[in-house]
Amino acid sequence: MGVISPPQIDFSDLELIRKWQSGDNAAASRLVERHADPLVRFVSSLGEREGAFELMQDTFVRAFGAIDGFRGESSFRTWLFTIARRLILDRRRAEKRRPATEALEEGDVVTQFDALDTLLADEAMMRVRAAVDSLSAKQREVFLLRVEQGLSFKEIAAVVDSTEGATRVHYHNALRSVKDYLNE
Amino acid sequence: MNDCINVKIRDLLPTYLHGKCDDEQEEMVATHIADCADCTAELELLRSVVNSRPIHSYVSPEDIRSVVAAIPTYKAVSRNNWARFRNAAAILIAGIGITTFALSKDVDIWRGSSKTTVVAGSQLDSNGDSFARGRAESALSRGDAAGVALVNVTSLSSAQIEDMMNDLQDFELLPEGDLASSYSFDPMAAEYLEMIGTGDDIGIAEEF
Repeated sequence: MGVISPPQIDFSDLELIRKWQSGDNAAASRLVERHADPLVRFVSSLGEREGAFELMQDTFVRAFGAIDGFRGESSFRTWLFTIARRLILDRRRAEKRRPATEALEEGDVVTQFDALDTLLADEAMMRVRAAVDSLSAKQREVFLLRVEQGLSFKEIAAVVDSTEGATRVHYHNALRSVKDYLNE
Repeated sequence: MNDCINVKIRDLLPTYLHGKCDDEQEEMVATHIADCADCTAELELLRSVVNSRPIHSYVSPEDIRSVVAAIPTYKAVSRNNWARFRNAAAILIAGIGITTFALSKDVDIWRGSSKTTVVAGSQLDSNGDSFARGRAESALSRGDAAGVALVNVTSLSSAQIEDMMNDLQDFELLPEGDLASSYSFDPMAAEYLEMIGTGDDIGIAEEF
């Protein structure tokens, strides 16, 4: 007779945060499991593929260390993206690798494809990827947050420290550029 | 590939792609794309964008454990922050309290005593007449200052304070004279004497 495992209850992020605050470390594990991949994907899309894991870890440590500042007005994932983005900007300023500016600069995209990219055998997919990579840094960031991560314009505005209207404009301009690239 | 003129639907396409539309939005988008070739093509493009990004798990279970191990416990973080906040708040409140008390009581907190001082000549100060004020203090130093007081109020009795206040009122009631012409060599001193009286009473005249 096999062991019947208890049903997996899918708690919301806020519920998991409350459970962690009550001393349940398993809740922290669940939160990390839920958001680690999207977070790594996000920081990678900003050109931090090499240090993505370290950034992801730093982001979680910062987030849990300041969890009282999270009031649930935005989603937990949006909040994580905001922290990660600030970490990247702070790191770049500190290292002086790029000019000190709040905006993510051109060339942030990773152009050296790793082994996983070789799996993208489909030429059409490669063209789509190239089209996205050809976008400006700001457009690409907004476009991928909207399309790849599925964030709303309001959430994207919070992450990139802009307005909802501006992010909508960036998104549609980016989409137009991708279409034009693929129509060439 | 053209853009559909229905921007509202186009805005919703990524939401629809991720299955995050509510029931009303879901039905609206589904109904629209059934008849719109542009939006159907755009939805496929968005899907291909997602598929063009490598889909794999970046983070292994070991990585998850490593990250969780680096996260501080909530209580330690919370208590430290709360203690810091409490200390900062206590210092701030104490500072505000001491300052407010000092201002309300007019206490020189550095000397620890009341220093409410009345200088009759300060009326001249307001006109920038520091010279005349100097003369008044000079007369005061000789002990013959009629109507000019530089005193510590706390050392006076109630009756003395009342007398002093009456004297101050009398200054304002003095009739205006042409004393300036008698002391035209020093208009500022004349103005001062005009304010306090004839000048003979306090023996200042001979100084001029």
